[in-house]
Amino acid sequence: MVKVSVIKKSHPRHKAPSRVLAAGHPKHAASDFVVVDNPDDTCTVIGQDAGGNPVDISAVATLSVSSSDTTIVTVDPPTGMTFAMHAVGKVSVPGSPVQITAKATWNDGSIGPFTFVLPVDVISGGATGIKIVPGTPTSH
Amino acid sequence: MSSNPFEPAPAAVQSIESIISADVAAIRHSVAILVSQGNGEQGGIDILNTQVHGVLLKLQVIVDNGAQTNDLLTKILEALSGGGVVGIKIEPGTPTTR
Repeated sequence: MVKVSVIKKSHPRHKAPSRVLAAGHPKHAASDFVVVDNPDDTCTVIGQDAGGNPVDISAVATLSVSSSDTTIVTVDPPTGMTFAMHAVGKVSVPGSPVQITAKATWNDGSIGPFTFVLPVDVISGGATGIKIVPGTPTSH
Repeated sequence: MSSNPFEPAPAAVQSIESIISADVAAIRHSVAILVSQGNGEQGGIDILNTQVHGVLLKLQVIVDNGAQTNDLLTKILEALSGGGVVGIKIEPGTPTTR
């Protein structure tokens, strides 16, 4: 059993939270998702209500996804509310993440569509070998 | 409410149950919002049985003013139910190396 105390607003130790919409609310900017340059990943798209709680929208909406730079990260066509993304092998420019955009369109058009952008930073992994890179020869 | 202001009002115990999509953290959050909006009463809420996402939630509320108990419970459930989708979110899984 979980006990939750409810007290009056005027109680000084329990001032109301000033940020009603906490982290995770769809209007908040998403934190960058960081991957190394050779992984695959499966992502899930969920709906969120006004309280930031997850809502299953798989039966009511259709998903589309896109990548802002397919030379760095590609996305597969979604299956339901999931899609795969792949880091191609090239790293992204620091401070300029690839934008993965998901758009959920309601089948009956009653609400939406809603979009969400996930910034993805692709970085190099640890060294797994070495390589000699010759410079430009000069005459002596 | 008691006619004698120096006597505590009798506690009211009521319960309500509903199938909702919420977890304990969401309940705490919603209660905090309700209190901030002036809907809270002194007392306690026992969350008798709650799990995440679409299971039976039972709330038992003990408040000083029984007249507002149902109102508080209703508002909690309304807050937890959310009132519909207002956005979406991408949740990445754990990357696997090729």
